[in-house]
Amino acid sequence: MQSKSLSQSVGILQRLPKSWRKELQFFAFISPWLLGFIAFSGGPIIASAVISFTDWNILSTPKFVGLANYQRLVNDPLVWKALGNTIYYTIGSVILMTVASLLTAILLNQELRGVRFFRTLYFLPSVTSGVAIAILFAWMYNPEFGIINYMLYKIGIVGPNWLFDEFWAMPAIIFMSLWTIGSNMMIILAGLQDIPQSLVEAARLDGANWWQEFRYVTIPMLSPVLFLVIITSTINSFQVFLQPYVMTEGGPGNATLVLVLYLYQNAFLWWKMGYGAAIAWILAVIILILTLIQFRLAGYWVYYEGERRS
Amino acid sequence: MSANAAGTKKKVGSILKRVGLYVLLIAGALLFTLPFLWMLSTSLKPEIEVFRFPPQWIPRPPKWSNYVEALTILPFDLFFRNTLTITVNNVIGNLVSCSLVAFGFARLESRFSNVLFILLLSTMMVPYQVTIIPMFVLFHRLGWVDTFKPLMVPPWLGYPFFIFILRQFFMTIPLELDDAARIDGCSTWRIYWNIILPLAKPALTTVAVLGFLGNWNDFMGPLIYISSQEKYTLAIGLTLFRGQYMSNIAYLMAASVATVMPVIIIFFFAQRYFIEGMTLTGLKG
Amino acid sequence: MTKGKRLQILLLVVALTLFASSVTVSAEKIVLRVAHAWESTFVDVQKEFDKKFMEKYPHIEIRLENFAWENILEKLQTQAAAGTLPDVFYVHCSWAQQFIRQGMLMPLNSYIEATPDFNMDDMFPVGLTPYWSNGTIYALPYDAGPMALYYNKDMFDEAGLPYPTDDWVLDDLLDNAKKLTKDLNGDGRVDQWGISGTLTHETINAPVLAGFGAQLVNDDETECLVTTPEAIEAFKWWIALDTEHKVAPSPAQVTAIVEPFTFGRVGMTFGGSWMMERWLRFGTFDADVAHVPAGPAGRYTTVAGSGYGIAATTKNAEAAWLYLSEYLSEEGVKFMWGRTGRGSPSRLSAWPDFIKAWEGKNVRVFEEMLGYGLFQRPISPAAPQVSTIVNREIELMQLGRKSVEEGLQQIKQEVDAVLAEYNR
Repeated sequence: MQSKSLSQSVGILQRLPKSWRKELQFFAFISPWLLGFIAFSGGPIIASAVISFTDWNILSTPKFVGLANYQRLVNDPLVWKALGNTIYYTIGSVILMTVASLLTAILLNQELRGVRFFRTLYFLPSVTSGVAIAILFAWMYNPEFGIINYMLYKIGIVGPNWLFDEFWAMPAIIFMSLWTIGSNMMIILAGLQDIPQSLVEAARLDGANWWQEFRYVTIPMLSPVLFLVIITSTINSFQVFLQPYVMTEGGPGNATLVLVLYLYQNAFLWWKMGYGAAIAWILAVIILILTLIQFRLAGYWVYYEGERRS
Repeated sequence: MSANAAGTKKKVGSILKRVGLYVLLIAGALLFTLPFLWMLSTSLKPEIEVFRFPPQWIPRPPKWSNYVEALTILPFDLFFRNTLTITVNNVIGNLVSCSLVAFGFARLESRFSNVLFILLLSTMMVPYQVTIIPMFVLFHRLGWVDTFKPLMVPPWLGYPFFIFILRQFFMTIPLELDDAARIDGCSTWRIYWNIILPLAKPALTTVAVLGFLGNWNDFMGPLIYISSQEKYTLAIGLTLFRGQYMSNIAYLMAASVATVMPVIIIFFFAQRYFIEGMTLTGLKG
Repeated sequence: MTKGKRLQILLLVVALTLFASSVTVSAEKIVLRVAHAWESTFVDVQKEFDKKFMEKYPHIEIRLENFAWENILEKLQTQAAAGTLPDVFYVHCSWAQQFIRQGMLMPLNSYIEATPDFNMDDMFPVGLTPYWSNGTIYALPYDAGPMALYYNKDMFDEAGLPYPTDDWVLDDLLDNAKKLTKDLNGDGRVDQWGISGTLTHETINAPVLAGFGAQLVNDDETECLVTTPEAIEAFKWWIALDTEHKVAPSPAQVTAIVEPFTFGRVGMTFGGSWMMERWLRFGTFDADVAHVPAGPAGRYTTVAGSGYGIAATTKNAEAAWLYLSEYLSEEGVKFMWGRTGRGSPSRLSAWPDFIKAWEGKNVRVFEEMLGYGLFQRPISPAAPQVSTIVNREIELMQLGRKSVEEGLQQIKQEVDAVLAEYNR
């Protein structure tokens, strides 16, 4: 009985037009995510969008206020300040993290004795939980009792106030993101391992020097992975929160006030969930636009071997 | 100039290159391990010595008992079991679900593919701070609060970042392989299972390690969904060393060092699969 | 076994685990969820109390929920949104008015009246301040912590200075701070300072402003008063410690995690009774506490603290009150906070035990300060946002990036706007 209905349904499937069958197959494979989206992640995301049009302090009944939160946001100087800081952090950290993780991955991809051990060492700071690292860095950056200025002092340099200097605070936080390149480094490393040795050898036989090999073999073959790293770092950097939250609370002045920190303060410390949600959605829309642009640009530099070109 | 001399020169060059690489490696390693070394050093000090400056890098004598005390002050063995259960389940769930979804996006044709992929990425763009309350309300209505379910079910339904990673890697595998297999009469499932997955071992390993790491250290999830102490995870246990004013820094560091060890060990051994993947991918290109 | 089969078995095992974890314990006992914010080293004391409570009342089972202080607010907010707050939970004084406004807390008056054994006269009135709203009380304090002057005895000894006394005025503070500020290693930079921690959101209203006869906000909390002549004078005096006399470390060196008094590089600092553990027990040097010095308008200090309340949504109000009334009874406070010497007890009757726990230290000053202490202000729900603004501007004034007048003008402008918003 069961097998009969199965063969029946297979028969139905086969009678469908070919394009429909392809769609069905596609949806069958992505169904876990689709299900998850419908059941879990989609609802709360839509809810947060609805909340952004209300005045809601978590316990009261949300009061619909139309675009009031968004109007207020445009006139809130702190939002603009935080947006500027967020962009500053994102540009700095995405460039720094991508370059650094690419270079370290290449270094760690060399066939050297003990390289596995070194990879593990480089991965260490990324493994350690975020809060412990943030505490350690707040300590290390302390101008009087931190190890960084202590070492600078030993070589005759008076270091800056780091986290309490309006100029240095953000670079210090960006610089700190270097220690957490572990996962990007690992993804790139996997990508490097994926480059067919035959291609590298062919390039060498043709007399390519290391730069040509890097530029014409490594980069194109690695481009899908670099694209991934850039997109996800951008998304994550725009949502930076933990470091300023633990280390500076947005100071000095508002030099390290980033959007997510400001929305957190509004939503949880000051109980203005509606306003917090509006900030979150402005942020999400900015990230989305940037991502779409990056996808557009990808056509010019990302090379997929497994892509159907029409 | 004889061929021999040129050979020697080349040899000297390669030795120099090696030395240079090691110097770079060691310099980088010092930079990257500095916070960890400080952590290690602090974890071996009596609480009273933690705030001495300039710091003593090697505590004399090292207070090994910090580890025992920190890990027995709360039932860390229980937290360890909880974390391990959740992490193992989630890593397997992620591998299964994300590889299926990524295969769909990377290898199968659909008119909706691009739109849905952007939708998938969009779910990473809304900061969790504003979705967490609706999410909690949802799980509360399902009666899942204070159980492991909110933590252990969603990983079986994909995780955008990992789907993205696998999609990118799947897309680097030449399509000719699929086409050839189809001509041989392979079903789509067989292409996924017998061709793509074996070729993507480095990527799957990456997802497994990152998944292990992410779930092991996940703090927000357990914090929000778990209430009873017997269900706490290591990440929650760690936060409890910090009081409002008095933090047990030495204990915190000792427990932190102890809890990262499993991840480090996993990472060290997972690298074997990188190499394995490489020899297999020799097939392509 | 094939790979596919193995996977199937694995899936089955996972599914079973999920199922098993959902089965809950059923019992006829009343299960009471109680949420705390204790650090791990204090949890054992809590468990001991709960065990004793359950022995006394076998029909109640206490389920302990404990989260780090810095996380518990978010946890409570989320639970409140879903209507699943713990029956009894921790309330920090600065959150109380917001919790009350949001209807999270159950009024306690009728329960207190119905329990004559629960002695309210024994509680310091100042400790109760933040939990009142329109004649109704919504939570009860376990501690009431005044800000005191902590000093490094070793450093005073080394400089040959007598220790701070109960009759100190601001000039004494400045004189001693100057004498303690030194360049120890002779490199031309000061590396030991006289005083730190003078201007935090806890100290602003008192001793800083009240000592000069000023206040941060008016009594109705509708207007910011930092631009009155008294307030400007007060801020000028305290900021000058940084900018003019240079007897205080730069705010760059003072963070919650890295605090120079803890490193033994500062002679004196302001801190609440809750800092005793860190400085009097786990310090690398000998330290003690004294009264805060008196300002031209008198001697004042701030009192802060924490307490517990019952969820308005609780289904076990009677049992929850039973727990709360035992927990914060004279016996309970003595057991939890008196004999352990933790925080400064909200009840007078626990003080002999508390002072005994700190033998050799001058902790009686805390009890005396509860007599002239003022509650931290503002206490309205606007408080967290006000303190963000005030902290930011003080930091800029101390760093010399803004003059006192500019900073205070900015505080006035922003705080007035915030107060207006909350009073709407």
